[in-house]
Formats: sequence, structure tokens, C-alpha cells
Amino acid sequence: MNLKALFNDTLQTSKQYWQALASRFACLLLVAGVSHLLGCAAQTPSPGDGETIDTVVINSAARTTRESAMALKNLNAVSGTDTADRAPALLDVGILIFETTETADNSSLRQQGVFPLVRKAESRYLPYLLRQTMEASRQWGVVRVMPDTHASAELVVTGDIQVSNGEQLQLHIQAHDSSDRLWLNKVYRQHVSAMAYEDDQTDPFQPLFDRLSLDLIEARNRLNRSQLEEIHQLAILRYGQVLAPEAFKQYIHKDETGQFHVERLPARDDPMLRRVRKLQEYEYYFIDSVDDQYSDLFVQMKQTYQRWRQYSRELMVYMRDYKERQAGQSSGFRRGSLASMNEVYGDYEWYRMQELNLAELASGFNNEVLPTVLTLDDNVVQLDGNLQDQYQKWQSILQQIFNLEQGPI
Amino acid sequence: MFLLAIAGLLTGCQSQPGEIKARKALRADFSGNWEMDYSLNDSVEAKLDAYFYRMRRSLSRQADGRQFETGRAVPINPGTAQTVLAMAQFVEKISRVQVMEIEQTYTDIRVDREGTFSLNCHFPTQGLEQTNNPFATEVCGWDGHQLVFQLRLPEGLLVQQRFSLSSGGDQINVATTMISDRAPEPFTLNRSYSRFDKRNRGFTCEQTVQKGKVCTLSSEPEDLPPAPDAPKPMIMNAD
Repeated sequence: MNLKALFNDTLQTSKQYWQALASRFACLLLVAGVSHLLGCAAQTPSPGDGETIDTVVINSAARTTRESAMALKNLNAVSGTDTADRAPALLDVGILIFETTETADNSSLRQQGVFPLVRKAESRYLPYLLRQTMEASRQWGVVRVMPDTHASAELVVTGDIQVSNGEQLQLHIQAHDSSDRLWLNKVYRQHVSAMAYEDDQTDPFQPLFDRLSLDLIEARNRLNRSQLEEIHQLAILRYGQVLAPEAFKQYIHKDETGQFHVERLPARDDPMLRRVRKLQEYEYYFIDSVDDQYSDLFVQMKQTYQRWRQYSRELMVYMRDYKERQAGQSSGFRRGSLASMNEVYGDYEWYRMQELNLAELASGFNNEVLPTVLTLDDNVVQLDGNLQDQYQKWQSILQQIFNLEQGPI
Repeated sequence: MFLLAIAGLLTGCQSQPGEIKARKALRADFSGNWEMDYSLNDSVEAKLDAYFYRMRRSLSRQADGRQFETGRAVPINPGTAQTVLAMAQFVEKISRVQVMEIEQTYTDIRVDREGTFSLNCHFPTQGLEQTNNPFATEVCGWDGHQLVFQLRLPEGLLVQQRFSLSSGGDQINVATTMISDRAPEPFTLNRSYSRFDKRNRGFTCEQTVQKGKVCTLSSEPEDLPPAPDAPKPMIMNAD
């Protein structure tokens, strides 16, 4: 069989395949959503390496919050076109679902108000909040939330949730472009007061994401036009290198610092480049259908998550204040008296009951949100597995085409 | 200097009051629902009488040793007597739990107790687990076939609960012991629990963040007898 025809057939099949998958998973999610709603309706209410990382502490004062929001809003949108292609500043961004730092054992995590399943849900929720913030700034190309790094992303943002307990959010954020240039490596921290939860429409930690978004824009603005153009070029060339290493290795080189550079460019009408561009479009079908699912999760979990953080914060603050008042204080009763025993044991019992309340709240959160998170993860794993299969097919076909086109040496 | 060093070493070797010398774990299976069996409980009064009897005897022996006049009752220090009474009242109060639900795996146990906090333990591979919080130090784990939860509180107090399972597996004894640095010896009260089957209440409840506890009618019929050909439930013992 003619290989080029086979390639076109595969592309066609792939296109139909991704479209079918996208619609199938959209249906699945709709069904999951409906059943979730039905479930509610049926319920009757009877009973490192030594490197120092900058920490950005976000001031939650209303004025500062308004200022950062306004600064983002007042930015001029990067226009969609620039001569023949899009503007070099319009980079496509991939935000990976966040990692979580969990080094302590379960009981000490509970004491810090950390519940692993809640963390799992928020590691998918918070990247979406960043996506929304970046999109609203109109400074970027397409911004997507992704489960893994895809070679075609022009800027990849990764994050690690270090603290998240409703009172404080601390994220370690890194951003690399397609040349592997490090744009950002900072820890962002914000404390919020009870007032931050008064507005249902705005996330209490929105100022942190506004600041992060501004920092990314600032990092991009430090690059000149040719550097930005190189990022676009490297994204497609490195993607091509994944699919057809032999054909694309000549275009890229890596310097001693590990950064990639364009050695030379293929011709605009290079047939292999055209094929890779087509495949990249199909990969976007996959990434977009996964991104849609993160978007649905965000909508479904928003209210519950907001409420969870609010309650969790109240309990954490109350527990801490109580501990501070009590720690090291003598009861004032005679040592060995019943009153002294009751007080000492009562304090401990109170502390344990608060812990229990927090754990119950976490289990409530899991009951409401976890089924959706698990459905999403299943779908993503299935889609990703299918994409890996596709990669193998594409790689093998492109290799054969490349060999044919090279001809016998 | 040498004598001081020896004295220091000896003091260092002394065990703390209530310290558990954990024997090799012989994990018993406590899982299930348990309710208090009043017929097998200790009587607080009888325990107190026995406690004071031992104290008097001990004091008399000390008095005889010092060649005090015999035949006269040696008075107990009123402060100590008050502490012993307080210990009895306190142990009686904290061991009033009527119903317990126990979930157990090879590595963890959770004892949910009606009306108070639950007792949790993650069994370490060896010895006992110790955790600290601002109000107490908790120690737990296996001591032979017994499960021990110990709480070291401020003001010289120590509360220990020792769970033992009967050979038939249908009774649990919970021995609650209190040690105070103001009392000459520990005070222990035994409570007995019998296994019971939790009846299907006809509804199931689920905790939610937005609506609190939400209960729904359960579709399973109440107390349905097992099918005649159904396999017998198997008890898995990890040991």
C-alpha cells in the first residue's frame, strides 16, 4: 500500500476518532453531571538542590487586590495577527495539573488540615483558575490545562501545592518555554481573612493568580521579537522531532546550558513539516477534549470547594487561637483535683473533636466532588492511552515516509 | 563526681510511670459493633474500697516499720484521698461510652465511640506509635494480644485504655487506668462490651459540605435473611 495514502487514511481515521472520542466523553460527562444532579434531588433531608527560590507574598489588602486586578484588566490585548502569522507574543500555554507536596504521614497531615483526596481535587481545580486568569488578560494564545507535558506547547507552567487550607495558599510555580528557557521559578503565598469569602463570585485567592499572571507577562515582555519567534518555531520543530526524529534533528541544537536553539528552518512547504503540522492539529483535538473536562470539573466543584475552604479556614483559625490561649497556661485548680483533671482532659477532648469536625468536612467534600474527579481521571487516562497508541502509529509511518523520501544512499 | 554519674545513669534507666513495655504483637480482630454489657462492669465503689484498703495496709506496714503504736488506724492524707476520689470519678466519667464501632485493618484501627472522640492508631511495624499535639502525647499499639491507647496529659496525668478480646471473640474488655503524680498507685476500671449486629435503619446518610448530613431511604429490605446457598462470610486474619 502507498505510504502517503496510508498516512492520509490514518489522519482521516484519527480525525474521526478524536471527534468521536470528544463527543463520546462529552456525553459521558453530561451523563455523570445529570446523575450527580439526580443524586442530589433524590436525597431527602431527614437526619532541592540548595537553590534559593524567591517567595512572593501577596498582600490581601483590598487596595492592593484591586490594583493587581486593574493592572491585568488595563493591559492592551495582544492583537491576533501580525503580518502573515499571529503575533509572536501570542504564545500557546499548557498548564499542567499541579503536583502536591505530601511528605508527612496521614495523622500529622490531618493536624495541618491537609486531606489527600481534597488535595487531589484542588490540584485539578487551581490550574484551571490560572487558565481563566490568563485567558481573561488577553495576552496569550490558547491556554489549556493538560495532564502531561505535550511537546507542542510553547509555554508550559507547572505548579506544586505546598499549602492550601482555606487560610493560606502557597504554590511553587515554574514556567519553561519550548526552548527550555526558565521564565519563572517562584513561590507564591497568600493569606486571606474571613472577608475574602464574602464575595461568592471571586475566588478568595484570585490576587495570587493575578500576580502570577502579571509575572508571566512581565517575563514574556523581557524577550525580544526574535526570541519569541524562535519559541514558536521550536515548538513545532521539537514536536516534529518526537514524531520523526531523523527528519527533524538537523533543525535543532542544544547548547551547553541545556537550552534548545533553531539551527536552521525547513522550507515553508516542506512536506514533512506539513504532515507534522496536521498531526499537531489532531493532538489539539485530544488536549482540547481533556481541557473541556477540567473546565466541567471546575464548574461542578466551584461552590463546594469555596464552602469547604471557608469552613476549613474557620476551624483552623479557631483551633490555632485556642491553642495559643491554652498552651503553657496552668489551670489554676489544685493539681490532682477533679476540676484540674476535667480541664486538662477537656482541652484535649475539645481539640480532638475539632479534628473530627474537620475530617467530617473533608469526607463531605469527597462525597460531593470525588466521583467527578475520578470519572475525569478515568477519561483522561483512556484518552492519553489512545494518544500514545496514535503516536506510535504516526512515528512508524513518518519514519517509513522519511526513508522513502531520502532514497537509497 | 563518679557517684553523681552513677546516680544519673540509674535515674536515666528508671522507667516513667505508665511506660508500656510492648510485647510482640499478636493482632486480635476487634472490628464490629459493640455495646456496653453492664452486668460485667466493675463497680466503682468496690474498686474504691479496695484501693483505700490497700492504701491503709501499706501505710500500716510503713508505720509498723517505724515502730509506731499498733492497733490504731493510720490516717490517710486528706489531699491524697481527695485525689483518689477524683481519679475514680474521672475514670468513671470517661469510660461511660455505651456504643463503639471498630474498623480495623492490618495496619490501622479506628474506634468510633458514641459521644466522644474516636481512638485511632496506625500500627508501626515494631513497638508503639507516638504522636504529639499541643494538648497531649498519644501512644498506641499492640502489647501482645492487647491494644493499648495511652494519653500523657499535662499536670502529671496519664490515661490508658487497654482493649482485650475474649477467646470467643464476642466480648471486649476495656480497662481504663489513670495515673496521677498525686496518688500512690493507679486507679483502674474495667468495662465490658458485647458484640451486636447493627440493624439496617432503612436509610443511609452521607456527609456533604453544602447541605450537611444528607440521608436517603435505602432500597435494601430490612433484615433480609441470607440466601440458603450463599457462601458463609469469611474472616480474614492477616496473621
